[in-house]
Amino acid sequence: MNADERIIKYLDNELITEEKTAFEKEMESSRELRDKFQKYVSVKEEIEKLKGLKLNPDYIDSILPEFHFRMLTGKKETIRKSLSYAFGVMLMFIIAIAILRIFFNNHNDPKYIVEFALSLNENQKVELLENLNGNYAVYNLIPDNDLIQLLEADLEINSDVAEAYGIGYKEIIGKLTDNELEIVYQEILKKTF
Amino acid sequence: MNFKSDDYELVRDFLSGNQQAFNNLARKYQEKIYWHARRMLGDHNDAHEIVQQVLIVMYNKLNTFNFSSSLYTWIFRITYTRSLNQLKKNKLKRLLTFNFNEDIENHGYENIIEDLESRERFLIMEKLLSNLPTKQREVFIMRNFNELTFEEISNITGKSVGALKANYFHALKKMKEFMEKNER
Repeated sequence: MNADERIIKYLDNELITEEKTAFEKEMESSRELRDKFQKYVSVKEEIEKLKGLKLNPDYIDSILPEFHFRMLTGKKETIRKSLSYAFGVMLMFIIAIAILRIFFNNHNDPKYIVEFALSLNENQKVELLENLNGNYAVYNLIPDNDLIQLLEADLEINSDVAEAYGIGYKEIIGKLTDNELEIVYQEILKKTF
Repeated sequence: MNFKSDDYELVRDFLSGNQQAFNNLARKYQEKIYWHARRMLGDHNDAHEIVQQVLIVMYNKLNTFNFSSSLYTWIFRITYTRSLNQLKKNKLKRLLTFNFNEDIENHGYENIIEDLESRERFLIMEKLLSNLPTKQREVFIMRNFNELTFEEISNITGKSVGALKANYFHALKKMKEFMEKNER
């Protein structure tokens, strides 16, 4: 047991009688131990001075009225808190969905589609058009994933490809309103074009 | 009438519908709750919030208290748990606001202690306590300020007496060093 341990145990009255007597004897002869002991005593004295601190009576008097007020308004608070939590959870859910959509739908980015269209060779364009028109012929020129994404994507690509093959629906759709255009696009998606 | 039977009667009266009995219980323990929370958290507003929370728990849960321990221990356990939760919340708040300073800020209700000298003394002690790790701080406060035995602290915190003694030893040793530095 080192000096600190012995001092702390002595102050806490945790030394047995023999240890206590030996410690007191050693203190008489060791100035170093006495100094160290005195520092611990100072901590304890400081604590003693702070034990009996009294709170400001005005503050004490305000505790119970506030408690009763909280008990009265507690239920309203609980409902308000629950609604706040529900709103927070909903907001997080919407943000998460939005992030996931951005992350997983980046292949529908018009820039990607245009780049993809430009990258197609003649045979691949034929395959794409056939698929868009519902005349399935298995060419396997375009990877399935890309094909599916294109079929499900913004159909601006169809205009580019159709134009390349002289299928002039771009002229037709040029005269349509946005709503009508949407219907045409939906029809294309359903492959009934 | 001793402390324990006094509590027993107050609880019994409250549970039979006497609201005044609860007010008496609250008056009896509110300062003890405040001081423990204040020393643990180092902030008046946090300590005030803990007082209110503990009173609400007492009001709602006193019917489950069966006097297997003293009422003081039961209240103290609630105070201890709530204070720890508040510490965790504060840590998280600091993390989210990129404030990595672990020091307790001594702010809020400046006149909570009316006597100027005592207030200054208290604020210094609070600052020194804030430098102790949580586990050491809690056992130091309970042992010295609340005068609880290690067995009682073990009953409240659920930690072994041996672990508590080890933490207390380090806490007291550090406090001695902090005070030495502070005096220089």
